[in-house]
Amino acid sequence: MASARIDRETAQRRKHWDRKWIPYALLAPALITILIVIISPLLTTIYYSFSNVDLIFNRTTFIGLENYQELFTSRLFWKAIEINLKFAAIVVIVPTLMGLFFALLLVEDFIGRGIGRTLLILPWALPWIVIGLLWNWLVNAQFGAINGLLYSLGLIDKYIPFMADEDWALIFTALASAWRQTSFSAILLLAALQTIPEDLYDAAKVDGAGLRARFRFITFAWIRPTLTIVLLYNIVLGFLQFDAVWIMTQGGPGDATMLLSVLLYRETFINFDLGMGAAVSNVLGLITLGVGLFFVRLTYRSQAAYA
Amino acid sequence: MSKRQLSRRQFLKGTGAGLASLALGGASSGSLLAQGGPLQFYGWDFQPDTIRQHLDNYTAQSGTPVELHIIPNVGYSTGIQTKILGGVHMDVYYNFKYNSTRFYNAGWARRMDDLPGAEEAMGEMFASSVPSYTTPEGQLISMPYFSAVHALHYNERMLSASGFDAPPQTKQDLYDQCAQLKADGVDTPYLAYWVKEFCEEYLQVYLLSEGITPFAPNGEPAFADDAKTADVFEWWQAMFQDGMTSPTMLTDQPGEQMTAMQNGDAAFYVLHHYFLKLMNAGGGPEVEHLRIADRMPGSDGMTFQMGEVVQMSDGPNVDRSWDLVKFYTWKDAAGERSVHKSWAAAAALGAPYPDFFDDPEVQANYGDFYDFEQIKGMFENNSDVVQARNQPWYSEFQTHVGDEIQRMLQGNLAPAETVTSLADKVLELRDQYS
Repeated sequence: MASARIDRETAQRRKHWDRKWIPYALLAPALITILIVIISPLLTTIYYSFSNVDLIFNRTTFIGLENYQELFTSRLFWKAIEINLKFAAIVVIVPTLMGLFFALLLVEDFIGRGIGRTLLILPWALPWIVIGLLWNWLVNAQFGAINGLLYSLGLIDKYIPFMADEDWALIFTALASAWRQTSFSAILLLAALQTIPEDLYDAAKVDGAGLRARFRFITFAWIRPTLTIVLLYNIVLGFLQFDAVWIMTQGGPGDATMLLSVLLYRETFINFDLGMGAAVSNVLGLITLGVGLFFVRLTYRSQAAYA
Repeated sequence: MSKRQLSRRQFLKGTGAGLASLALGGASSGSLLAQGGPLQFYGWDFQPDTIRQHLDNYTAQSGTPVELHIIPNVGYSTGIQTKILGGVHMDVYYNFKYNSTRFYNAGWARRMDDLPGAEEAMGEMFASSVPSYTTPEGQLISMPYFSAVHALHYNERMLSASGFDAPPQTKQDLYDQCAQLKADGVDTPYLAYWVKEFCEEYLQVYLLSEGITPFAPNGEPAFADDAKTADVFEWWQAMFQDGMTSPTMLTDQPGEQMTAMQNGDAAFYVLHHYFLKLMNAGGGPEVEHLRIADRMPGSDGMTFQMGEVVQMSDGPNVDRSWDLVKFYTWKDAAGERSVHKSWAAAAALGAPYPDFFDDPEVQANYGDFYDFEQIKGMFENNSDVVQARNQPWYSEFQTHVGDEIQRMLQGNLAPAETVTSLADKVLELRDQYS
């Protein structure tokens, strides 16, 4: 009898233990993975940014705010911030608007739509390095296709050395990034557009809604969550783009395309200054996070106003 | 219930045992690698199939298997450092010259001058090349993967059409010839690879051509003490701002520049000697008129000799590693420079051995548009490797040179200020790294 009671209590305790710990045990693999893959590098980067890291002798010395002090008093850093904001503005605005335009175009039924949709994917399928090389040739001052086009249209009487001009260099490196991102934005938006029930438009027409009203209250409202994601992706790219810019200009001419990501690469992989690289990385991460959150909140606040 | 719990426990036990055996297996295979298994060879991604072929040839010759690991060129330095710090054993590896001393100081690269044949190998090199592979104290710490000299490529026909029967001898000559060519309709007569990453190599070329000592043996910025340095920068700035070069020169890549030479859109191009082969391979209406000048324009006419290196680590595989290094960077068992010859055939890469340029096979592979006595002469008597480039602080200086030279070319920094800025950076870095 007593033995049966002990067995029952043991079973209950085991059951209680199972209920309490099994969820944690099940979550553990995912949590451990996140800890290793995300949290640990993040904490290491934060720690490195306050340290002098000697890769060769594997020594890390805590130096407090020195890296940040040096960074914030550097001419190149503030220049990079200014350039990066301009660059990001182009990379956010152009792909979002152009992506929406192409998505709206390709959701319509017309002959050649299939080819159009295939062509839309092509830029997205190209690696960033190829994008950089391709645009280098496109903007070439002697035989670039853009110069050729402008010349044959009679818009210029002489080929323009675009990449010699600081403003043009920034615009074209941003456009190279925007070109590929337009493709990605359009694919996402096209997918969202295809899910809008046709009935909504029919009902709106019956209610007398015009083209603008239908776009604003049905199309735009429906794709708003996807648009938020697109916007977020484009903001992240606007601040983190590196490959195409490095291939096209290495941050030049002068400092014209010295993005924070280029500065980060140079500090970390050329100068081997991991501490300073980590400081740039943290600043870049915070800026991206701040701008991204601002736009997401903005989008959702206006969504709430609609609701 | 108890059966299910048991089976779960068994399962966990089994999984744990499996993982443990895998980990142990991995560890033991890692230690086996370090103690007599295949040699571990690391290189960057220039023609990996050719590298594989070389290593296969080595295995056929020596019976030693070699595992090849390719790391992308961009980020190669960081890649191998991270691996070494993570405990990965590399027997033999490519390295950038500027990293060679850094790796040696860290104990990741072994000195080689005490190994059999090292003295003979050094003795066969051009005397001018040896400091590239040694510490300032003369210890051999690397061997040549490839070598090249910077050269002035010019279009003989275009010069002749503008009334010049010889390439320029001084920088003023070069400016004047460019001005004449420009007046004759060549918009941008002069090309140089002035992207940020490469400005530093040009710095050496232009300083050496004027007889300026770039660095003292202890790494002091000797160039700052020579008044001619500011003159060189003024000339450099004038060439850019007076339109002798393309205004896009600060971002143009060799592909575009070679096309301009091949098509006759430019008449001068300063870059490594092997670009003559690349331009000939590319074809075009002007390639048959392209030549290499005997000397760089300047009061001294010297040029800069560059190249990258192969290093080896210490450990139980030293003898076999050294054997592979010798095969890859010096001679094979038959006494042939088979690896360097293969690179010559692939891309006209050079090797710092005088007899290399006398070899009929190398000459045939390079092409009859080369004057081998001329190239040999440039290596032998008319070039310098600038040993300070091996120093650990050098890559950071290189970055600074790119920024400051481009600012100067654009007119945002005066030549004298540029000299001061570069010298200050050297002093700051030497202090920081000491």
